[in-house]
Amino acid sequence: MSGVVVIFTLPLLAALLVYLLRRWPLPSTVLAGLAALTLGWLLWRWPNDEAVRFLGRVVRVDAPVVLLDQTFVLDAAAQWVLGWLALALAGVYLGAWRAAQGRTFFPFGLVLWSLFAAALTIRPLWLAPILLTVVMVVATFVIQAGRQGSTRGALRPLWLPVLAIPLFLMAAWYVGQTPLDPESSLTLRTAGQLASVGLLLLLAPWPLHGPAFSLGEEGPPLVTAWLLIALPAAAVTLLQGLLVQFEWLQGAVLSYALPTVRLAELLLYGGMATCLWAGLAGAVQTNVNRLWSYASLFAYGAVLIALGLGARGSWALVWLLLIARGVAMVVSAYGLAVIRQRAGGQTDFTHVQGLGTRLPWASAAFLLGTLSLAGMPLTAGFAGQWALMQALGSTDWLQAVVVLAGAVGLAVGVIRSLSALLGPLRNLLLEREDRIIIVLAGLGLLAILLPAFYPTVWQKPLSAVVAAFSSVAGGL
Amino acid sequence: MQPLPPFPDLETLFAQAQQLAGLPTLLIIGVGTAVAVAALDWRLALAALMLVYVGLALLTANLLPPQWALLRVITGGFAALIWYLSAQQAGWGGRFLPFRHSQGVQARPLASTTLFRSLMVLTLALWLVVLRPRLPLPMLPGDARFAIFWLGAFGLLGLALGAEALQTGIALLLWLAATQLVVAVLQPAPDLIWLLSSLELLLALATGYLMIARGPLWADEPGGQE
Repeated sequence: MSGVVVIFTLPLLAALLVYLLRRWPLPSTVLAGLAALTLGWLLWRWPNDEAVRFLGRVVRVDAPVVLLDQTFVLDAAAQWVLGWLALALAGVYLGAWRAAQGRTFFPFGLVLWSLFAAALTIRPLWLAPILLTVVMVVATFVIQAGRQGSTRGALRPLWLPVLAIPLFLMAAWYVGQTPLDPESSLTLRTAGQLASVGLLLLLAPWPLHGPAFSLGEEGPPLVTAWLLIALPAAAVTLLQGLLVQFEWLQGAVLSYALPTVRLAELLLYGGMATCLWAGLAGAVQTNVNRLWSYASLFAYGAVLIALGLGARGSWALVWLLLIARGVAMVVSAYGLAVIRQRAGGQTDFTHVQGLGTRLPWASAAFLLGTLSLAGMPLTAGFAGQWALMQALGSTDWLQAVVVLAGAVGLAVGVIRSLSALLGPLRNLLLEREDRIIIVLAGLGLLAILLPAFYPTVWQKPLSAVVAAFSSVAGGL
Repeated sequence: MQPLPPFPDLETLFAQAQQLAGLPTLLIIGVGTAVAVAALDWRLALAALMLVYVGLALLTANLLPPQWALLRVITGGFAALIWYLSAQQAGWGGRFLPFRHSQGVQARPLASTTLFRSLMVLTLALWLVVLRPRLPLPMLPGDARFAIFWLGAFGLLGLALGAEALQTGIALLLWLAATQLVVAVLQPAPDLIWLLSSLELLLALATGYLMIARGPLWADEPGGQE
């Protein structure tokens, strides 16, 4: 049996059971969380190139499987990333137990995970954007979650994956034409050009950040947090897979007229613009949900910069930023979800005013998680941000200052939010947070603070991811 | 009573329809696309979208066997049906022109936004017609290449102009229709065509759901509650 069969069937079977239990929050949370945890544990534990025993059967993890005329292969990078996404999903489920995100999220989350698995394991890789679009289309239902009114948060994330599809398909055609005319470099150059634009659309640096912001602004926080963890991880894995398979993509230019404009430069400068824009906009927000959305955008901008640094950066830096961002997003989203629930769905400063006095633990999780997204000292996000600053500052200190300015902007936004949360309470009948919410928030705070004091906790997962991604040295 | 003659099979039907190949097919696609993007009335937009898919079937019949060309019409038909039912469910069905209400007074049927959209559509159409001889991707046959760029460009314009789920859905389907044409010319693989057609239907379902979630177009405007 192939590992692909396990990762396709196990979550779908669990999703079916969870769907039947969807009216009971505790059993559905436990079952969905256990399924996600098991998947993450198995994927991080199984050696990619060896046979393992699972439920009395021999599983060959990297054996290819043909389903519906398509080939699926679980390589080392996809295996590690899917394990990370499953563990993040388990964390999100734990938070969603006490902060309702819509009943369908528990089964749909597992279905979305298996669709991500399909997107990351499909061969040829050129078809992956089609499956990523399918993921976003299915995600529409959990993003909107029966809410009446604006549909922007569910609608706009569909744009960029759909637009990327023909670019990848045409790039695949050009790659297929290369053996017919091996002397000419035109076909490979055109393929590189098309693939680069496609990747740019999937990675979406500024000014293509709108859909991610809308999703963060309108979607249920924990659902959004997981999608915003999973989408960049999938796009980065696709990029890595293409770089492994097609080395000529490294250094591919986007336009013949401008040979210096490469994907790496666009990601580097686009990432900086994303950080600066997110920081400036975050500083002036009067809505905690929008602040959170900008904070997640800032942390994503840092990931794009690390990708754009290419040979000066490394996969370790990219993944350190992605993992720290993931932890901070889940914790801050949990705090935000509790605040949003208690404020009746309204998250502007007027409606959340004083909520911090009744929800101190949830508010602390939100604020500290947001600070971690900004890469502030004494938080999980600092180690990655510091490493990025060093990599940037070694060549041009001005670039580091731009990113720092964004982080300071977000800190201003957090201080303003803190001031609103600790202001005079308008609804004096508001109940205090219960013990389970406090315990969950406490766990989240530990996840943010512990890596700040013991940065060695990053060592093991980073060693594993670097080993999985080591086929490509130096990125773009 | 004379017995009815047998209904022509698919091959004969498409062979007869080939009289429309060339300029008439491009005109069908062009006009349908322009109206689908410019129209604010959902029924007009859906009718125009169906016209586009009929044109696409005629164009695809030149590139693929007729059964695959028919798949274009079936996909478009299902998408239009899903959106029609969603519009009814969302409460748009009561009026022919669900234009904006303001302070209890219905806006003029030809609102300024319609004029603006029409102007943008005409400008883009003129630009594409002028650029036609210089369009890139020379490996694509002439008519298919023009249709691909036309559909893609209007898909992008639709995304830029549309704020509602239906408008965005139509724009995304136009973009995917261009993708389907690219696939039909460059990589006519049945599994890929099925995959893209399934994606089109899923997209129609998702946007249909969002249309229902959005509710009546005039419900969120002051004084516009029905």
